[in-house]
Amino acid sequence: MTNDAKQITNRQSWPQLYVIVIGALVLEILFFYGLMVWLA
Amino acid sequence: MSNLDWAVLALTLTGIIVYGLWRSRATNGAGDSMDNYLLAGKSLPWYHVCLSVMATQASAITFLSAPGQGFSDGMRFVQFYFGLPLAMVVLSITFVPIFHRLKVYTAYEFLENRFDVRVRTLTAGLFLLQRGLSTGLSIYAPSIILSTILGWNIYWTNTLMGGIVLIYTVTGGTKAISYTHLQQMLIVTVAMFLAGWLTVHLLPDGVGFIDALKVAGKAGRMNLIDTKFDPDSRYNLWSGLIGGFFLQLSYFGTDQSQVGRYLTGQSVGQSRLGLLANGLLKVPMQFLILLVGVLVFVFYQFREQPVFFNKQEVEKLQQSQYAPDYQLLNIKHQNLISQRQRTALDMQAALKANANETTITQNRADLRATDEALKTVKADVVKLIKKNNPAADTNDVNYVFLRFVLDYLPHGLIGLLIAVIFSASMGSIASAYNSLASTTVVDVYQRLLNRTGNDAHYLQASKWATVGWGLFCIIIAQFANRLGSMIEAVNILGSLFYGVILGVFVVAFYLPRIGGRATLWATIIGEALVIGCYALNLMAFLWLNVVGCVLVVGLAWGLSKFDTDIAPA
Repeated sequence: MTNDAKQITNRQSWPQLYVIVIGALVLEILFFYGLMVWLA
Repeated sequence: MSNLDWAVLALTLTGIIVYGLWRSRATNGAGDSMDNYLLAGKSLPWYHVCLSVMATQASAITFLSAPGQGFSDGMRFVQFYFGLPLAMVVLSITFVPIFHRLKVYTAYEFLENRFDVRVRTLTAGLFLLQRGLSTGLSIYAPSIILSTILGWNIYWTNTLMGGIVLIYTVTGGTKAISYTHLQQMLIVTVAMFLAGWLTVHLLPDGVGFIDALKVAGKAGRMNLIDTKFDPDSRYNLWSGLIGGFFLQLSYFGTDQSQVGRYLTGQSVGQSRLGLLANGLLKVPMQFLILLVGVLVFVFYQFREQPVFFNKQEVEKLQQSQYAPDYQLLNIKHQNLISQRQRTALDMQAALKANANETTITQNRADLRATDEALKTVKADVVKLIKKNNPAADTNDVNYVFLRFVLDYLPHGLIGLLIAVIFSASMGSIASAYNSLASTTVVDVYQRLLNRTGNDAHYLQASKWATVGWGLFCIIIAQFANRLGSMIEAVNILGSLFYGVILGVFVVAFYLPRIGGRATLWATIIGEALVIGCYALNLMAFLWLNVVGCVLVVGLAWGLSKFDTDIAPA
């Protein structure tokens, strides 16, 4: 995994990683909202 | 606790410490040096950084309090962490590359580079004061719960909690801390999954995981998202995203106990990846911990539930003049519990049979009404507890999970879950000791008192500083019982300093034209005003974070207009 990480660094794809982290947060919020509505 | 629990507890804790020390020695190729001792030789991969950062943030109270929060208040606390991934992104873009480029040991070294030695020393001093005192409280908070429930002596529990950590922190330094963090997070994850799985297993026949979620949802405990903007509501989407973002940014960006963790990364990339992985994992982790509490709540829908989870306080009440009043309330409580059990079973049957919506809606209303009635009875019991013992801890949220573990989970797992509480506590205390030592040696001793020592001398000084701070924190823990509610005391202490320190860093990063003198005076005046606001009780203490930050930024900007000490472009 460390090699993968190095490759990521080498490819300088940080903006994509930032988008992934923020995108994951958005998906989590949507998932939580859906779960709440389904179970209410 | 049985002998098996004791054996599991002792083996788990010894295993973690021995493994941490062994691995840190095995990987110490360059031998002992200050760089190795304080920053693990900047050699750690991203997953170490990630787990170390997570273990530092997750204290024992996280694993005691969060399930209790899920039990009594539902899942809405998860929103508090929504700002964390955003803060990780900002840190990765701004803070991490600057700290790495300047090759700093502590966050406060950067402030000398940006301003001058006075701002660095003042900020480091504020950190030492705040972190030193709050670590003492962090030792005391889980110790008092363990000692109350298990009947242990509080002074010995404090000493054990703070002392075990001191052994491997002094001996192995940051590398030992990081390797033990890895083990601690592994144990914590396995044990919490086991606890959740067993809780579902203990539910009545025919009630599975999805059924449990449905019952929790109908009882209002799956309240994950609140989109309403309400300043009075502590946890909603907006306070989590905005307030949480500022709080996490100040914690991860300016608190050396966290900065010291991600500076151990092999490179800027590894530190960044570690923080971003933390941003990805933290919300799901917190969701799962809260879910365990919600499952415990569902479990008690079908079983008898104590009126107050701190059994020791109830026993004191039963032996007091208020015993008859308590008996009456307890009978009322038992009747409500029986009523709730019937409703829960009816609802479960209705959900299974896909009954019409009217039946389920009626069950839901009954369940929520009983829940409210139970809360009223509990409030009356709490009043009696307070009357009987004005110094009593009337908040039993922290006791819910441990009480459930001791009453219902099998021996062996009880020992493992007590080990989880110790492990979580050790993880954050170890980082605190290490950060206190590095700030003392790098920002005070080496910078101000002795600039001519060699590496071996400063390494030795770091070890002694760790011992000194460890003993200081244990002593603070022994006196902490005079401070009332622990969590509140920790938060108040943090709020008095965090906002001001964040303000200094905001000026440093984002207002490049403001110089050291203006920032120094803004910090001094800002801190005095924050303490004044607290002393005069002008606002709720959480707002002191915002006020401190805004005051420092505003004052520094204002003072810089009359100051010729402009920072070099």
